[in-house]
Amino acid sequence: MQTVKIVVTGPFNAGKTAFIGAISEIEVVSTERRITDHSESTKEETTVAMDFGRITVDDGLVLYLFGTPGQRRFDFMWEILSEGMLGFIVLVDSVAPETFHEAKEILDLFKNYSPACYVVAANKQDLEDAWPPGDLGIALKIDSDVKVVPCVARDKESVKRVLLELLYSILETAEE
Amino acid sequence: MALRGNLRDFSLTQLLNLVSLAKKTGVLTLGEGSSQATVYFREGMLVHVSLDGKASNLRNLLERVGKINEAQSRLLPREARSDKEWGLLLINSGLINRADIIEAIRRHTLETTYRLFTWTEGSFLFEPNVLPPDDKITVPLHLENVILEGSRRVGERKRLEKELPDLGMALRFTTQPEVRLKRIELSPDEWRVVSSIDSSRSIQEIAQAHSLTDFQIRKIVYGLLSAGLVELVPRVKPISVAPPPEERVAPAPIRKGIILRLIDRIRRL
Amino acid sequence: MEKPRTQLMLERLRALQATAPGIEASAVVSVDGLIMASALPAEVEEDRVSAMSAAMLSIGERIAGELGRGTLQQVYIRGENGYVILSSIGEEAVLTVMARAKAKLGLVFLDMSRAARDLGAILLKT
Repeated sequence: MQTVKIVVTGPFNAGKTAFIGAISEIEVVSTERRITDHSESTKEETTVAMDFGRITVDDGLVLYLFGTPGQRRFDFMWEILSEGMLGFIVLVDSVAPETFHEAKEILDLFKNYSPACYVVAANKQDLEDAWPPGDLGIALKIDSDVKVVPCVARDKESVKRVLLELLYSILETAEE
Repeated sequence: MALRGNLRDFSLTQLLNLVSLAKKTGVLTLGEGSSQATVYFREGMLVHVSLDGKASNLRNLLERVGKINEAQSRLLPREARSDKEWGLLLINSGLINRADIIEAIRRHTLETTYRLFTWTEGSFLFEPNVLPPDDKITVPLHLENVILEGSRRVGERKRLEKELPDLGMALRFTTQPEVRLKRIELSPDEWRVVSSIDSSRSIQEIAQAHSLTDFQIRKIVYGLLSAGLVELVPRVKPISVAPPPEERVAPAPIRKGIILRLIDRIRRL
Repeated sequence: MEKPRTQLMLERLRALQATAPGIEASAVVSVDGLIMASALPAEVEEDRVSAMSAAMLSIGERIAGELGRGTLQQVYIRGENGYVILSSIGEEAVLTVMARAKAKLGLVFLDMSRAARDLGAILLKT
């Protein structure tokens, strides 16, 4: 049995847990915690170690999805989770420009961890004030050869599309 | 789709870059405190700007920049006219020529925009496909130059960031401070920073501990550095942190077959 | 006036370290990884300890739950130079202790469980 791993990362509240939850065939093994610090009360719960989802491809191949915790203090987990990954997805909250800078930092850190392929997913495109993916790509200074994919993490089809775009990118670099 | 946010998170430079690169048409409304500015763009060019509604009137603008004097102004009709009508009237009356008007508007647009670069806090809203009011004389300006000059003028802030690029560094007292320590007067904030100096704390951490902004801490630290009181040292990483990871082994090459199987499976989900 | 909660917790941590000489450092950390009180040597990074404790506790809980071991009580890590032991304090917090390699583990566990009980009571008082 071969296993491959894709990591879903991004700032706090970008929607990583929902993203994995939308597509995993098992209920996401999540390490969510109620937030105790009220300065961060933009949401109820936050991931503290990782989220974990699975997609069985066939008898010989399983894809694991790992979601990283969003807050900076858990960055030691990022490196652990990034080890040996096939590729990664940087999820960005398109209605929260205040998190773009951090998203960029996380992206750069992950690029540093591994030369793996990645795509940027512009999440929450269903919300009115969402930045369009193109603008978000410019804002984050994403290299022009990297895809910025629109995304609604709660929607399975949308999540599929992001994963597929990543896999297409990986395919271009893969060996025969 | 409108773009909204705060200049703290997304600076004017970044916004102008975005407009320029994406060749956007529309209006950017900025608010800082009680001030409000509207900046219009057409296909990635700066075409019109107004600050607090001021100088939106060509006649006032020309008066202000001294293109027409008070005596001349008094001879002009009182009633309100659109800028374009004013322009025609002034040209026809021989007071001013077309090139002067364009130049005055250009300078006004640039100077006003440069002032906006100092706004580091405040809301912004970009609404696409909104054009300036019809009666305005617009002078299209390339944003690249505006961004360059605007950034240059931000001056102190930028210089400080250059002098002190890495807030992850730590501070320590200089080894021979006795020469300079005499007669040093420190402000309360400076004292707080001085009292927190410790080679295991980054400048950033000191700033956080005293709720100082990056700009404030840079200013203080720059002062202390210039006074020769402190010097920058790499932060001493405390124990309990894993040793630096050894040279990364390049991952085994990925085989196309595996990726194709993954793609096929996800498509069928 | 009553002492602030942090002060009470800190006093309890110091008492723990005084009674169990094998314990070098201790901290109370919220389950989402923020420090609530700590008695750590200066060279130990508080933020690191707190985030790692929360992550470890979370994974431990998942493992205990998924593998049918019930509610997590303790996570125990042994390294060449000593131990890190995590013990949950109610639903909200975790007690993290670092002990020397030569520490008497039985005593450390005993003192920790007492401390955890007291700290739980302090936390409830808010």
